[in-house]
Amino acid sequence: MAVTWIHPGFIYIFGALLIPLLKGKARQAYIILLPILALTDILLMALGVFGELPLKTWEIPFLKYTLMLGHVDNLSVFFAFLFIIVSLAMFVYAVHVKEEWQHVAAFLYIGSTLGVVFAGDLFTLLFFWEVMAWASLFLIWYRKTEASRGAGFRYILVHSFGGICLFAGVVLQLQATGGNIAWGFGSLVNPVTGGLDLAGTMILIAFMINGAVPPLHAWLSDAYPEATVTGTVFLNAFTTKSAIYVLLRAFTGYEALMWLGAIMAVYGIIYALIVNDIRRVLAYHIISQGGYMVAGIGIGTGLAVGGAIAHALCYTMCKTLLFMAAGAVLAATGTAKMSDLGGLYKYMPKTFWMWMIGAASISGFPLFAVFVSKPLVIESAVFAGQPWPWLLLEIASAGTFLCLAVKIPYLTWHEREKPANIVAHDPPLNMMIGMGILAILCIGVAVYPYAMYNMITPAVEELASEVGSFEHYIAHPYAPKIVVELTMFFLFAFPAFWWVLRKPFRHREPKMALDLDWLYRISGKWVIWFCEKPLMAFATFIDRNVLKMAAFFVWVGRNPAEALRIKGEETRLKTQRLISTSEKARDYESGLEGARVRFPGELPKLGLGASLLLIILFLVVYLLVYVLGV
Amino acid sequence: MGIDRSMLIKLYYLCLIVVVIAGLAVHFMPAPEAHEGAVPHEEGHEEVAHEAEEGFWWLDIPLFAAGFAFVSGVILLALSKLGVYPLLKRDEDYYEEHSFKKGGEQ
Repeated sequence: MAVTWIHPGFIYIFGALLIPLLKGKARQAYIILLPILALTDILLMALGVFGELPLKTWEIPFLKYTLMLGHVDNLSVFFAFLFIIVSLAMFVYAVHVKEEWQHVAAFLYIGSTLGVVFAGDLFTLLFFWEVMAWASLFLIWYRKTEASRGAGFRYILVHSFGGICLFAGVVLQLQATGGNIAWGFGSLVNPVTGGLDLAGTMILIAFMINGAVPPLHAWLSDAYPEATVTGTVFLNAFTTKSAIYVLLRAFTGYEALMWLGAIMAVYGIIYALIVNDIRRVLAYHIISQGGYMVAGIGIGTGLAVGGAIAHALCYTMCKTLLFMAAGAVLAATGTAKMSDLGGLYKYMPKTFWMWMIGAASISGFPLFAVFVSKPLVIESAVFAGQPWPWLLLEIASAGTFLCLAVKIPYLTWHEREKPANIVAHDPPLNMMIGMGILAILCIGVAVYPYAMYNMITPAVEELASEVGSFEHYIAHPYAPKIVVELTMFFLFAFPAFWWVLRKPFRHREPKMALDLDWLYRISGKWVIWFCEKPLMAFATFIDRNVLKMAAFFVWVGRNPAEALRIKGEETRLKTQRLISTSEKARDYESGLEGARVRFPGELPKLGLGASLLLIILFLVVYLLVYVLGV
Repeated sequence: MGIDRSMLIKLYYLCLIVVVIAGLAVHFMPAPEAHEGAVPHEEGHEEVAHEAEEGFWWLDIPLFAAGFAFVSGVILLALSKLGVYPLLKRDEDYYEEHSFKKGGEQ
């Protein structure tokens, strides 16, 4: 008997509805249970319980189209697995949060991300894309500060623009394909020219916004650090990685992405090195690490695509671990700004070691997560004969190590004594367990990477033109040359900070760094000023005069002949005042006053001929205006 | 701090020496595939393996990774902290100050 496929996203979405009804331990158990159910579901999916992959299921008629909520293939199963396993650790970390609606928002956010992953048509993709943006907004607003409110508004404005681009792309795609709404079965890149049509361009812009590809990235570093402690942990994993997923589906081999990815990697790390808030450092670092995946997608070979997919898993786990450790610092001390921190090791040693596991993993130390993913992308640039992308990716790699494994641990946990005004202690048990799960996974995936590689290989075969380079590399991920060279790389990068440039970094300043959000934050204020001042004054002027004019026409309409006579008299009075005696003028004035008091008086009775004359007169005036174009 | 700093530094120097020797060893030793009795490439992988051995010419310089890591680290840190940061740094309330509500009419 065939078993019906269950959409894991719906476990999160419908599961979220019960959360407000539960209290205390029951709610906490339920919050952990839902990701476990989804994990079971995805494992059954991978084992083929619901049928051999690829599956096309959950088809729903909508207008004249058929929506497909379940397009299940190797790539979607891999990304769903990644999202679910990370979400399990996240919910353990966040289970103590008392605001039930924050949990609901997180569940809707993850559920809609899974909706995007399994979308088999453009409408379903668009729907879940929008739900994802709105659900994630509440994780920012729940911080309930002035800064989070503003950041949330900017976040949703940018994502609404992205949604509009996606909608426009969908409409154009429908027009171009004659109503075919299928999605995710082929690249949008023209195989002959290697370019994109307008629909593809619009869709790419939407994906680039969610992927935080510069210059469309500033929403990320603006909004993520303003979210709640646990909200940022959730936010870091889903929006950008779902963008990587859709880019893999539609734009693998699009060369521009290789360049954008390489620039992104360096751009992100430069900002990560100079900003003061640890969570903002990590936010910029999302952009930097996203660059490796985007570059891998752009290079498009088997090794590059395999590296990008593997990096999505490895990097998400260690970045989430780092956000959790940073969140633990924020929760304990009330600040995540390095200018206010220092000397925390004595008070938060467990959090420090969790951070170090995350930092070693994201740097790519042997036996730590990213060692089995990032070098694949960098190596693919060598194979593809692309020296500049290779150079930028390697430089960003050195920056990642110096920033996350050297600078932040030094300034936050070691340098100087802890400032007296902050309280510091390791976080509660559930937060430590959440971090512990990810720390184990970060090491586990690197110690035995073949489980991950075996899951990825079929997806690489589906996406890339050749898989030989990928299969060759993964046969020896711990080749002595790779291990020694990477170890050497980190050991020799260390003195660049410690011996050469430690001093300027020790000078801590509570400053922020301008980024491209300046363009819309400052120009936005000018737009608001323009709307509030000159535009409003103009609108009031128009409003007042239109009302005056309307009142005049109402007045005239009560007795047009008498009204015209009064207006004529008023004109005559003005003339009389100029040319005749004041006595005569006063006579006119009193006559006029009488006429005003009598107004409207008895209405004149117009005959049919006079009415007709008036109509003809009106038509002639209209015709003149029309012909002369006045 | 609870960690003996001088011991860590000695350990670091030791690691540097070991990794440099190991780096030279893997650089000058023939690749494992070329050894007699080594497992041959799987079918279809020969071309890929050959391509992998080619790479960029500078990757064949002994201990290139060490020099590159140090130089790129210095350049990146100097560029960001001494080049970019002074240009872009602003007070934390920069956007509030430029707000028309708080900062008065502008």
